[in-house]
Amino acid sequence: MTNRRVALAAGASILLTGMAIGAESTTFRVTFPTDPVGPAGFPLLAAALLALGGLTLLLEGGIGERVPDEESVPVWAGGARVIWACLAFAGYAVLLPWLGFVPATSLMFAALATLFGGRPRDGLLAGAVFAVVLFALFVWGLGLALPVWPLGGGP
Amino acid sequence: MESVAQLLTGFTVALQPLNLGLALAGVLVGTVVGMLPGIGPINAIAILLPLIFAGGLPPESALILLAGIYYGSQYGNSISTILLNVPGTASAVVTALDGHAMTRAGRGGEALALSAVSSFVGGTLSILGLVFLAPPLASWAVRFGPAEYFALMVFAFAALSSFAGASVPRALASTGLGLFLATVGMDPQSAVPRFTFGQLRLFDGLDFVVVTIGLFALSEIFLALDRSTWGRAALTAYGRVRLRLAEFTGAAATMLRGSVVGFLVGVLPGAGGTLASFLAYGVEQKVAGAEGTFGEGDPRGVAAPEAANNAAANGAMIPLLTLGIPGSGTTAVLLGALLGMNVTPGPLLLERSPGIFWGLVASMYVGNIFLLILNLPLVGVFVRILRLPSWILMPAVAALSFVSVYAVNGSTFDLLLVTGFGALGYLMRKGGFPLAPVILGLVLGPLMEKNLRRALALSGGDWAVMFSSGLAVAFWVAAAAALVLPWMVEQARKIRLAGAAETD
Repeated sequence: MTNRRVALAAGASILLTGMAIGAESTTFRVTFPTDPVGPAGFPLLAAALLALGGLTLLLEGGIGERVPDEESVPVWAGGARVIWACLAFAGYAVLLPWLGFVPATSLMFAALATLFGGRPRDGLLAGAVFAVVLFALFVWGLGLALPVWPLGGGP
Repeated sequence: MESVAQLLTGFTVALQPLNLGLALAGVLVGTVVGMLPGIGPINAIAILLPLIFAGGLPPESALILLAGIYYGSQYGNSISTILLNVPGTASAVVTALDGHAMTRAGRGGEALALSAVSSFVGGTLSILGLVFLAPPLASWAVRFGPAEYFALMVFAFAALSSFAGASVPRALASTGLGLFLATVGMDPQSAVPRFTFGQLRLFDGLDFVVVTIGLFALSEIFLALDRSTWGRAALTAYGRVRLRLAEFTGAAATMLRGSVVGFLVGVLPGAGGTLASFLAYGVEQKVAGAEGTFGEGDPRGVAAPEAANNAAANGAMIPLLTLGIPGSGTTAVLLGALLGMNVTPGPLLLERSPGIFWGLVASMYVGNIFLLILNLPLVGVFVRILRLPSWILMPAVAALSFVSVYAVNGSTFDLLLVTGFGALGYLMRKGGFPLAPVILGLVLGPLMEKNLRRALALSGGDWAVMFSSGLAVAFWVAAAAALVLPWMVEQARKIRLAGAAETD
């Protein structure tokens, strides 16, 4: 992607987000005489800032004069790895209550370690060790409630 | 002096055995977490914060632990900056110039010792400044009404955007995002649910720890994944970690100047450590003139930014504690932490709970001393952690982040949320959007909205109230100036360059 396209895409999506937030804000209609701003006023302000920022970016990208220098052109070398990591994290969120803390954390650790170029088996081992250390520290040390036992039997 | 006496009372709080132990633990843990590549104080505090809350400590002790972590993470950040050239914050970029050059020349140990001593000097001098400046500022700020507060917060945002060096439309969008995120949940005044999409778990709003860990820590992992190569950090021999007397006296004047510059810059909202380090470094270059070897491993190039950075961190405590206005991403996280401990910084803090105020100041100082006497001999142990390959370090940061997020509410929904914010932070950083205004917006948003609504309720809906006092107008003008000045300076430079080109 070129720099101009990045600016245009970012500007357009920010402008649309701002407009969507603004539209949603107008549905908050409770007006007390003691609260002239109401619940909609402040979100509208935030939406206006977003829309203004997005619009300026769009215009900059369209005119192309103030597009930042080449250093800031994003390079998406490892974009696929980032998506895999997101999936691994989401999977962790889903699996944590079912598998329990130590198995789920070991799996997530192993997946991320593999993405960082480690061997899966080493990752699993290191993950298991680290998960047990964290568990000992936080559950026994600080009394934190982590899902302990497999299949939803945690505290 | 009354405030000196109160500072001494603060020390009696900080020197209780439990609190001393907590300061020690905080400094150690903070150093280790802050040292991880790319993880600066913001990440370290956000990751460790839920664990502080979980400890169930009394507020003074929790604050002392927090201050220890804050100090430790700053020093940990210096370790990875000097030895590995991977600064975790913008302000450490300056330290990297000469610090890493010293490491390449085999003088890394000296640079580490110098960094610790300079931080100590900067911290000590700026605490003196804080003792004398905070009480009068607080008693002045007591008179602020809601309109003044609102305008002051607008100024804080404008200053942050302007000093951060990001493009103005990007800073605007980041600020808007932060303020929007602050409104998610049930509106406390009208009980209307906002942007919850019918999700009950969003009714309480977004927890700032979840947002911060996602935006800063997870996005750091995503950014690291995005790079094509990693592996074991290359560490060269760094020699003994100690400072000879001659080396200290050679840099003493630099430390003093760096501390003064850092403190003055730190008091300004938005400027913070980055500008302080750059300015102090620039001053030293000017003072040294031709005999300086800056950029090639000049010890003064380490002493100046490190002293300035620490002095700025303490200077930034003045607007944070007396006005309740954070001026940077890090102080915004600190404000969130204080609010989470039911400590509301502001002009009344000094009056109502002097024990907490002075206890915090004293514990910052105690943390500083611990850093000096404890971390210097332990650098060798810390460095062993840095030698671990990234396929162990990065998943470990992720696992620790998830434990923290889970500790906030005990909900796996938050784990999905933090992943989403991680992806958002990654995209924002790739696109050059500053992250600090998001956190500032999230933390200050509720306060800003409350003051806006209160001001307009008092005036019966007349917006002129926002500009009704001289002080409020002054803040509005300052905010406008902060936004417009960098642009005007740039234009002036262009005109001057064009003029110079013509006369050539």
